[in-house]
Amino acid sequence: MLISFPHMGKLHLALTRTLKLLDIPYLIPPLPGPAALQLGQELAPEGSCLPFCLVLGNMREALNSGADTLVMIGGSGPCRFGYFVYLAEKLLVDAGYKFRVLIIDKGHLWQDYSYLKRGGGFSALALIAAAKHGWQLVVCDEAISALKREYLPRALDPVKLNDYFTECSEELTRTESVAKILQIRAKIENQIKKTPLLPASSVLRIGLVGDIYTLLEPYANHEIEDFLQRSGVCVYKEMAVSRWIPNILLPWRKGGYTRELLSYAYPYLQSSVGGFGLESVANTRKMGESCVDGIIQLFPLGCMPEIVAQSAINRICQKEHLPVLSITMDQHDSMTGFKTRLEAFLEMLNRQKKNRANAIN
Amino acid sequence: MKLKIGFPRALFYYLYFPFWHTFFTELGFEVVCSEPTNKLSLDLGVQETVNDACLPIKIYHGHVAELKDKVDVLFLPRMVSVRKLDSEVFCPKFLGLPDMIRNSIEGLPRIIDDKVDLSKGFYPLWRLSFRIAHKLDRKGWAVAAAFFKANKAQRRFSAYLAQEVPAQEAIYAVIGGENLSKSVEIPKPDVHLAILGYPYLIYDAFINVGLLEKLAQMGIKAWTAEMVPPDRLEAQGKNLPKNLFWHFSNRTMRATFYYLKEHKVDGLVHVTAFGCGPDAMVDKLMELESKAHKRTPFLTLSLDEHTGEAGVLTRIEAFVDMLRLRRKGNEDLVSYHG
Repeated sequence: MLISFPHMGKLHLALTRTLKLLDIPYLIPPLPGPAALQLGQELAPEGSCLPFCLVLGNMREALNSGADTLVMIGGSGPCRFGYFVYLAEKLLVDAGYKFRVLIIDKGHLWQDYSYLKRGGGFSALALIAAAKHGWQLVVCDEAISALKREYLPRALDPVKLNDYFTECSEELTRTESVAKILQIRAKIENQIKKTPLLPASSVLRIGLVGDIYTLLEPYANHEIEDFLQRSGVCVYKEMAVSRWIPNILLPWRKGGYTRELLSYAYPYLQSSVGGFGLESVANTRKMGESCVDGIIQLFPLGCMPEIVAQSAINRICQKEHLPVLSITMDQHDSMTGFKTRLEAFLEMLNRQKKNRANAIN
Repeated sequence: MKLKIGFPRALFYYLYFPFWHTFFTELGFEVVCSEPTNKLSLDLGVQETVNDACLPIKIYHGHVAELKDKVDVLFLPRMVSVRKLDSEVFCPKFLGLPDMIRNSIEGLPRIIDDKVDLSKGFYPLWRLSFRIAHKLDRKGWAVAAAFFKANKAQRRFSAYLAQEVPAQEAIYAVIGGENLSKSVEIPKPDVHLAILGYPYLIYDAFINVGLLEKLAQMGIKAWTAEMVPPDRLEAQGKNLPKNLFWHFSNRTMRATFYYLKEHKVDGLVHVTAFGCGPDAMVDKLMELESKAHKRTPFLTLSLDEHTGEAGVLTRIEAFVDMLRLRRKGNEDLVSYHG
């Protein structure tokens, strides 16, 4: 048994740590890139979205390099994401691959567990402990990247702060206990408090909304975060694996979570539309009211929930005078068009900000 | 004067209109429909909708834009689910449809956008009807009576569909009490095709440029998902590892299995709209299944804003020619349909 999995953001940190603690052999496929896209497009149906092509390509890469078991999360829609794994299995079998999938979904968990146990020989408690450990790692890593996005452009000495972040991230991969992970997180939060910063209003702040895969996977969003960071923009992003998974998986948190989102989105969208449509609308308003100068919505071509969200976000843009740029990510690899649009948007925001400052003076 | 309630002639019109028409009429309202889809509704729709939306959603926007000044109330239900089955709902765009309309179209009249979610609670449709009637100031026995009549109308409509009456004619027959005009009998169809896809594509003759009519002229018998007996349609659910999340997609997939397993047809035609999210998956699944069932010929007919009559006709003709040639080529492999 050699387990592998498609990538999504930093989720592989949690998975590899869990599998390592349980002594199960695993294989990390290469990060999604042009090769994965090519492999995915060969098998994927014509109208499928970019995340599906990348996930499928990633699975093929894993299988080509020798994995025989794939782990992937299922779902219950109505976003297509929940059916990816079932369709992918059919497509891969049709293409002649031989493998087994472990689907994390209702009705499959017991089967998965017994299969893993036969291979590994560990107790249920050990599995839970290991999963918790892996989970903490992802939570901490995402917290660090959030701090980096929000504070690095404001630092008086960004190089030093950046080095510090890199150092901590490396330290994180070497940790061996949950306590150590939490310690690193606390250390960074302290360090931020001590670092001299520019006032928040002096830099441009942008919020990112959109579907989870596009926001979390750097290749799927043309590394927009790096680009914005290099342009000296603080980036705010509510979307994170660590925020989404607990709210979806734990039934006692789901109701409150949806209610909170609805309270923001209600005038423009009054129902959950699956995927991250409601999140996108709610976060647009939430961030628009609190901290940002503009919003960028990113979504793959043909993403159904985000199209509904787009109509609501357009309305918010008009009604609440919040600049919004909606970009559809298609399956082309060209950076130029993407960058041009971003640059124009940033320039417009900068000018608006300057005019506003002049008006106040 | 009677209050006018507007009902766009698009999307779920083709399956659920008889119920709502009877219900509102019995309560003493006038139900106004938009014109059958035409160039105007398409243009209005393209103009109003967010640009990434699919064709049927644009058409729906067009119908609403056409209706909005003619009526006092618009009835745009939020279709969530119509039965209890795993987590089956409608496509995300249906779930957010009233919001999309509100966000995109200016100057709308009052909107009734109650959630149609029949998967939860006791007698959900009964309660939903009372809630809607209450909003329109109707209470008590009158509502119950209207509800029963509406239910009856809907049942009659389903029976017509099962008897192979085209949806639009069946609707007229149920709500207008008109006699069924005998649909043109095809004397001896030599080719049987399953025309599968969502009702708002199959039955809207403007979007699909008169597909069903053309098939009849070519001497081809078209079978749709609505012609499968409901219980036998449901029995096909077991063929997928997991049910799809979308109501219409499940219907389409099950009809696919039904026609493939019963060997009733010579080929399958999947009618889909460009940019349809669920169909990207359904289309591939159908293709794989046709391949698995004795390599049954399969054609995807993708429709968009610019669909021309010639294009659709050419594709269908080529497909049917291929079927006929194939039959001539290997007589013994042909299915003996009944």
